[in-house]
Amino acid sequence: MTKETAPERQNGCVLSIAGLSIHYPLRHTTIRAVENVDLAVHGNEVLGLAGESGSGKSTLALGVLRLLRPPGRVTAGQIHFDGVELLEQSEGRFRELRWRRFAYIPQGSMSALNPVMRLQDQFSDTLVAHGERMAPAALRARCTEALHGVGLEPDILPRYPHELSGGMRQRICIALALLLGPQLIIADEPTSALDVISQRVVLETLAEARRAIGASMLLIGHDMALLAQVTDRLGIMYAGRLVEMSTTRALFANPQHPYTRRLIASIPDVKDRRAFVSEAGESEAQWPLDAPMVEVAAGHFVRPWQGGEGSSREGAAG
Amino acid sequence: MSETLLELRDVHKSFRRGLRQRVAALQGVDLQVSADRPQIITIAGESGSGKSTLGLLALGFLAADGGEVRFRGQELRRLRGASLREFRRSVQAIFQNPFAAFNPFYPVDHILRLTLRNFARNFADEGTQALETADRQRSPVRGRTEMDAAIDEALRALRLDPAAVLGKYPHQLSGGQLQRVMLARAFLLRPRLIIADEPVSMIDASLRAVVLGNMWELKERYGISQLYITHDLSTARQISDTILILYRGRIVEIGAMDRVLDDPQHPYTQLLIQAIPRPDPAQRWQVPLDWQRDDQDVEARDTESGCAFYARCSQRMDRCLAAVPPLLATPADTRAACYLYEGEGVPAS
Repeated sequence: MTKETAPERQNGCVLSIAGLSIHYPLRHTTIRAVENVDLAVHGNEVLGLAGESGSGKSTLALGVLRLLRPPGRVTAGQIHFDGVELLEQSEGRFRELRWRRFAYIPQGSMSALNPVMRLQDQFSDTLVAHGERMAPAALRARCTEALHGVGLEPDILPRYPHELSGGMRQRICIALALLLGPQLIIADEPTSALDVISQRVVLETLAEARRAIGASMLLIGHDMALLAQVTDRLGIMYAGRLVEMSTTRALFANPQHPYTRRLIASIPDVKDRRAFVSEAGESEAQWPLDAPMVEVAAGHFVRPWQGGEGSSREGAAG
Repeated sequence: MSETLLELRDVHKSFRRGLRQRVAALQGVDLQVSADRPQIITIAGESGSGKSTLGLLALGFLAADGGEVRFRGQELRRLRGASLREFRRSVQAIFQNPFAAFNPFYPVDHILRLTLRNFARNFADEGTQALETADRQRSPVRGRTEMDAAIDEALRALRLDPAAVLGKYPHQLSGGQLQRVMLARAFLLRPRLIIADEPVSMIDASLRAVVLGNMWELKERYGISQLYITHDLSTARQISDTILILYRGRIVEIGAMDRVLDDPQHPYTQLLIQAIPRPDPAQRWQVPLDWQRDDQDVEARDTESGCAFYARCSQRMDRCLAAVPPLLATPADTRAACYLYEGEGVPAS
């Protein structure tokens, strides 16, 4: 997806990642967690990134946020955010951008809140740390507004995190992420620890709040059914590489890469009892992962899996 | 009258929270697993609904505060000697985290052999009346060759390639493989019932179907019943025959799986099914969930005496606060703990 995506960059692209690689050099080997990934998040869209554990999707988010833990580091590529090359920024400059311009909702944000701080202090800390000094009354008004955005009342502000349910804590994390009005929200499995009802409430809240401030979102997850519900476009990651990227509708209607097909075929549907995939896929070790991605339909990119464009074109016809 | 393998009768269980409080995890739950007809029963509910407690009680890992858990008619806590060993063999457990279930210092074949050795007496114990005829014909598994043959057979029953897993240490296998080895371990003992608590929730989506397929086969081909404890109704749909929905320690709806999921009767079940994402971008959530939000006050005050779902229910009535609704027969041929169905017929108890 090098030349093919070039036009996309012009029309209001918020985040564009080109050739990004993140490696973990170990003593005897190097783990290539993310390898040569290109993707773009456009203005006001929700881009989903799906893949199994170990596919590199969370590492990619951490790389963009500069939160990788050593020995992991970005070894190649560019990350453009709203015209700024993030990898070239100093730590100080980067801190000014992070949270103010792009915020993060971490995986397992059930435990992302400080357990010994009242919620109001966590809100004011966030504001102060990003240079928003304000009078107590203004602070309270700001917090109230943020809480209303996620459907909570300000009377919970004096509480501690353990006094809230999981769904409420998750909504607090969303409120904190949206507090400074970012242009981009990076959410890593924001609902993975919740039951289905809270999950839906939290996701609807997140979608609404995002729409209200006109932010874009990079939503990382492994639950394909959930991603089908909320994303505009969807990228599929496998072994650190992007293997397919398209609009969500096209991806579900016409999946190309065998891995994408298997992923979609294996989703259980509550309305429909399916035949079992009795064996795991056999030939995955042979999928070539370094061939450049091919555009099989407008905006639908896929990595050829049988040594050449021909096979994927054939797939598109079938 | 069919024989009952395992039965929970009006089971109550509560846990202490702090010095004074008690949290009721289960409040009067009944459940029967037939000994004649193998079936997969899903126990579904959100976190905190008591579904895992139910599994632990059925395994005898926890003792009930009230009510009885019976294995072949005998109370679990009164089982001794051969009949206790027989229960331990017949009812096997699979848990959520396959990475934590194995001793990391031993290769899997050692772990499987250990299982056989631990239960060797069961197979040798010809006096145990409860042993299946098929099992009694089996010679006691003693020698190494015999053990290895049994292990090989068990792995193949789970469609695992013995060569790919034997001799490997747990960290060398994927979560899906480990969970299937766990099922093989259970299968070695020819159990009558497997209690599986969220067995696929930590496994990647594309392998989930394989493990579920294994569970289905264990029932269909080998007649092993299962209690499938999960919060995920979509996977329950794929394998189970009967479903039981728990909410705050009580059964709110129970019935044949297709009936409950296609035509849910209890307002909670309806809400639960509405909230499940469909894997189809053309069928997105349209209307917001139909429920009462921000009603924490009612919740704390009133659920003691009445229906636990009152605070979130969209169809609540005053009488729901007065007493806990019993399980009533519904037009969809299920039973639901909701006063909406009071006129529908005789209370099915």
